[in-house]
Amino acid sequence: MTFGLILKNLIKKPTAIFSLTLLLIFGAVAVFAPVIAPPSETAMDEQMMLQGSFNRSPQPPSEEHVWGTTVEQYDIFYGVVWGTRTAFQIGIGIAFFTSLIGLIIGSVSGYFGGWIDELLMRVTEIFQAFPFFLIVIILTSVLQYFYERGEEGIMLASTKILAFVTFGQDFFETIPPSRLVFLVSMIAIIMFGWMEIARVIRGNILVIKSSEYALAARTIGAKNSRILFRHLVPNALFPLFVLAPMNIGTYVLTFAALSFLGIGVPEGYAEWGHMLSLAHDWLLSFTDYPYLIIYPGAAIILFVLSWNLLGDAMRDILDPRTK
Amino acid sequence: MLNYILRRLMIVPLLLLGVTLLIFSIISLMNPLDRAQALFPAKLENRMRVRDYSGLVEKYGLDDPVYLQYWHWMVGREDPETGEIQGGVLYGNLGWSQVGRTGVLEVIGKRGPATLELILWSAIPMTVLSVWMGVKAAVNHNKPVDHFLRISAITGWSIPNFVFGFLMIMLFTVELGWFSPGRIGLDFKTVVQSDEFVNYTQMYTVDALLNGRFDVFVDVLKHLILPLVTLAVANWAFLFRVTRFSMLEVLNQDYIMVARSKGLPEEQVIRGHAFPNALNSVITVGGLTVVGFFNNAVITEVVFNYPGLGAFLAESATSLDLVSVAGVTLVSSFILIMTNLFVDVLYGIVDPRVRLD
Repeated sequence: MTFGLILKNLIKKPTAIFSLTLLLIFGAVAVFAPVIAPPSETAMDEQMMLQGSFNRSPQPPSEEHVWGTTVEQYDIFYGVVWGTRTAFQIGIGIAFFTSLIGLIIGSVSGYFGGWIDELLMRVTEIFQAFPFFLIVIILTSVLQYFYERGEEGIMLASTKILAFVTFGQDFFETIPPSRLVFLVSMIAIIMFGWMEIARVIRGNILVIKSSEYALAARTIGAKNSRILFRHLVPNALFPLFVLAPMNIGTYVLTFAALSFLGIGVPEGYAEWGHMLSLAHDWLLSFTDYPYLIIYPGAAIILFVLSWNLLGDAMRDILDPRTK
Repeated sequence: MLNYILRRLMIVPLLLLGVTLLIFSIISLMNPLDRAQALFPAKLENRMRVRDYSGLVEKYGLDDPVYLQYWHWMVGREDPETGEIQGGVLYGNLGWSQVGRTGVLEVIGKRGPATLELILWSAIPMTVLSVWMGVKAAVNHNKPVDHFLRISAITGWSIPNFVFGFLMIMLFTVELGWFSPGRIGLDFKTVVQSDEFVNYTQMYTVDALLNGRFDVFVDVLKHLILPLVTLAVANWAFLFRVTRFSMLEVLNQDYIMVARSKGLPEEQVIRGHAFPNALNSVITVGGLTVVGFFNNAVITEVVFNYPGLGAFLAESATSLDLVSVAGVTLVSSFILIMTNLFVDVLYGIVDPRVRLD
C-alpha cells in the first residue's frame, strides 16, 4: 500500500478527518507560537511561561492575561500556546527515538536469529519487567539527582543529541538549564519505551525473511546488510504507522503525568501537565478558578485524542483483520 | 505441560537478575551517603553533618569491587567490627527511607494494603465490565453500539488520569459534597486505630466486615469510590479493545460459520464457541493490565490524597529519595514478573497450542 493510497483511505473516515484537522490547528499554533503569544524581550528561554506581578493567588482573565493566570502569576494563554510546541517536541522527539531503537533491535534480532535473537529478546524482556511509569519516575529522579548535585556532565552527551533532534539545537551550544531538565525526562521515557516496537518489528521480519523475494535476493548473492535494509526493513515498517501515533499520545500523557508529580519540567515551563499541577491546590475552590483547569485540560485531551484517533484509523486501513 | 511450566520458570531468575542489576547500577551512581542508606538499612543520624565520607566507605565497604558490592547488596554484608550481618535484599532489607522515616520494606508493608485495596475494588468490576462491553461491541460490529463504545474507549484513553480525577473532585466533592478525599473519615480513623478493632489485613473494607463494623465499611467505601472509578476509567479502554479485537478475529473463523450453518442459535454460538476462545487472548494481556493499574495508581493516589504506595512513591520521587523509589520499583517489578509467570502458566492450561512451541 502506497502513501497516496493510505491518504486516500484516510480522508474517507470522519474520525480521521477530525483528528487531522485538529492536528493541523495544533501544528499551526506550535509553529506560529511567537506570533500568537510573543515572549517577553527579556526572557532567557521562551519556553518558560510569562510571569506577571507577584501575587500568590491565581487571577481571573483580564485584558493583560486573556485566559487568566495560575499560582505565581504564570500566564495561562502563553502556557497553552507554547505548551503546544512542547507537546509536539515530546511526542515526536520520543517517538522518533523509540521507533529507531525498536527498529534496529527488532530487525537485527529477527534477521540474524540464533543467539543474537535470544540475547536481544531476553534484554527486551528485562526492560519489560518494570512497570513503565514507575521505572520512568525512578530514572527521571535519578537524572534530576545528578543535576541537583551539579553532576550533569554524565548526561550531557545524550542530551545534546536529543536537543539537536528536538529543538534543532547546535551541538556546540550549551543547553539552557531549564531545557536540560526537560530533556532528561524525555530520555527516561525513551529508555523504557522501545520494547513493544522492537517485538512487533521482529515478528514482521521473521515472516518476511522467509518470503520469496528475500530468498531471491539471497540467491543472487546480496549481502546481509543489503537484504536487511533494502528488502526487509522497508516492508516491515508498516506497523509503525499504527504504533507511532498511538505512542505519541501515550508519551505526551506519560510526560504530563511526570510533570504533574513535579519531576518532569522545572517550575514555570510551558507544559500542560505542569500547568495542571499548579491547579491542584486550588481544586477545592474550583468554582472560583475554573480557568486553571479548563484551558490546559482541554488542550491535552484534544491533542492526545487526535493522535489516538489517527492511530485507530490507520489500524483500520492497514490491518486486514479488522475488516 | 510440566515441561512448559519449567521453561517459563527458568526465565524468572534471569529476569530477576536483570532487574536487580539495573536497580543496583542506578544505586551505585549515587554518593556514598545515599549508597550506604540504600545498601544497608542504616539509619544515619544528622545527615547534614556528615561531610567526610571516608568512614562510611570503610564501614560499609563501598570501595569494594562492583560485583562484590552487588553480592553484598543481595545477601547482606558482615560488619567488620561487630560481625553482625547487615543488609541483603533477599532477606527483605530494602534500605532506609528518608521520606517514610523507617525501613523501605516497613513502609511498603504499611502502605501496600491501601493500594491493594484500591486496585482490587477497581479491577474486579472493571475487568468484568470491559470484557462484557468488548463482546457487545464485537457482536454488533460496525453498528451504533460498537461505534459508541469505540469512541468512548478512545476518548477515555486520551483523558489524563489526573484531569479525570480533577473533574470527579470538582463534581462530587466540591459541587455535590458527597465524597471527600483521603482514605477514611476522622471519626472512623480513631475506631480503626483503637484496640477493639482487629486489623487482619490492613485493608479497611475487609477488616470492617470481619469486625462487624458496617458503619466503618460504608465510610471507607465512600472514600474509595472516586479513586476507584478514576482508576477504572484509566484502564478499561485497553481491556475493552483487546476483547473486542480478539472477539472479532474469532467470529471470522470457519468453525463459527459451521456452528451457525448447522442452525445453532446465535446466543449459543457467541457464548459457547466464540467467547471462550476470545478469552484466551484476553488472558495474555493480564500482565499489561497489572502494569496499567500500577502506573495509574500513582497519579490517582496523589490526586485524591490517598495514603497508598503510589502516593509514597510520588513523594519520594519529588524529594529525590532514591532509596525509597528504588525499593518500591524493585518490589513492584517482582510482583509484575510473578504475575506474568502466572499468566503464562494459565495460558498454557487454557490453550494447549502454546505448550508446544
